[in-house]
Amino acid sequence: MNSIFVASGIILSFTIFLCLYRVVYGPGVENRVIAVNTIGTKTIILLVAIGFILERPIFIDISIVYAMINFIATLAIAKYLKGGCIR
Amino acid sequence: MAFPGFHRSSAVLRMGATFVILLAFWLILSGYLDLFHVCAGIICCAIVAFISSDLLFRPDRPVRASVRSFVRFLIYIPRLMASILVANLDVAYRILHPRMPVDPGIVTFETGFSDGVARTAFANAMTLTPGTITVDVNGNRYVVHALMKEHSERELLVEREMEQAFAGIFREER
Amino acid sequence: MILNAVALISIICGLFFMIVGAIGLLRLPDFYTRAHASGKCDTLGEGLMLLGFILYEGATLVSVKLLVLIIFIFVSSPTAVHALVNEAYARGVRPWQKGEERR
Repeated sequence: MNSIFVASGIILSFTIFLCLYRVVYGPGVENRVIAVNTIGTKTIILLVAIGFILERPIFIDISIVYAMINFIATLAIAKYLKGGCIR
Repeated sequence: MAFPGFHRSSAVLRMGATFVILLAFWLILSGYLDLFHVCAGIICCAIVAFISSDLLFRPDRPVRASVRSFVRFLIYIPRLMASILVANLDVAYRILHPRMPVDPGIVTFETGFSDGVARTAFANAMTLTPGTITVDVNGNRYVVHALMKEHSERELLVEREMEQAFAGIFREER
Repeated sequence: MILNAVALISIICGLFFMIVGAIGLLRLPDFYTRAHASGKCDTLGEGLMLLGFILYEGATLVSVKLLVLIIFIFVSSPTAVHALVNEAYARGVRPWQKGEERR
């Protein structure tokens, strides 16, 4: 079962590289931000998988905090692009 | 207000319910059950429940009605999951098809919700389920981007299955 | 043993949806349709993979935390996508229509 986690981690890293194309070449700000959001959601799963591989439960807490930061960062960027300031 | 004590006991009930929910969340996330951590959790949860209990349970609605809506929503979740799965398989088919059979467009429609929570839950479910993304919500007017325009127009303007389900879940009761 | 097999199937289905989400982000023609791929496929893929991890772990505190994470993602991910799409619509990004050149 451990090899399953390693394999899924490798595949997830590969999909993150696919999304990175959109971050670098994507036309406009929106495409880049939504690609960064997608990378963040994939990173959450990657952190959980690393926690299962290394058998360290602390990674679950880190991924919960990362999910919250990812959500708030996307909302803040959307609000900034819409109104020009964050309030 | 026939009963002078009615309002007060309702506020206490709201605070108590908020305190129990917050304490359960604290115990799950902390994971320690020794004296220091549990006491700190009780103090923090009591302060937060005292300050902001009206954010979780609305003051103009009885607690029991909120809990009943929540239970109805929990019962609805399996059906929601099934339709999410179907919608995802549809999107996956359209992405992986070599010619990409998509015909996107913007659909506008009206709903009959009176409640902010119902509107938010419906907008979130719309983004997850039937090939649509909520673009703008203005009162009861929803602007939606659909991946297959004609299909979604039929679903949203004629059949209205999901809207009726959500209206049943969040119906007002006294 | 059966539980492990179910967990394995769930993880593989989740990985499939994650890969489809990434491919959709590359292939689809404009921002709004890419938001479909990001908002739907990624959310369901994440839910399925975390469900697989929960089934593998069994009834412990870790799986309760993972359940909290699933609930949080199912609430927050559509909201984030909606915020971005709403911002693009307010700034006047025009949706792609059939027959146009891809952007």
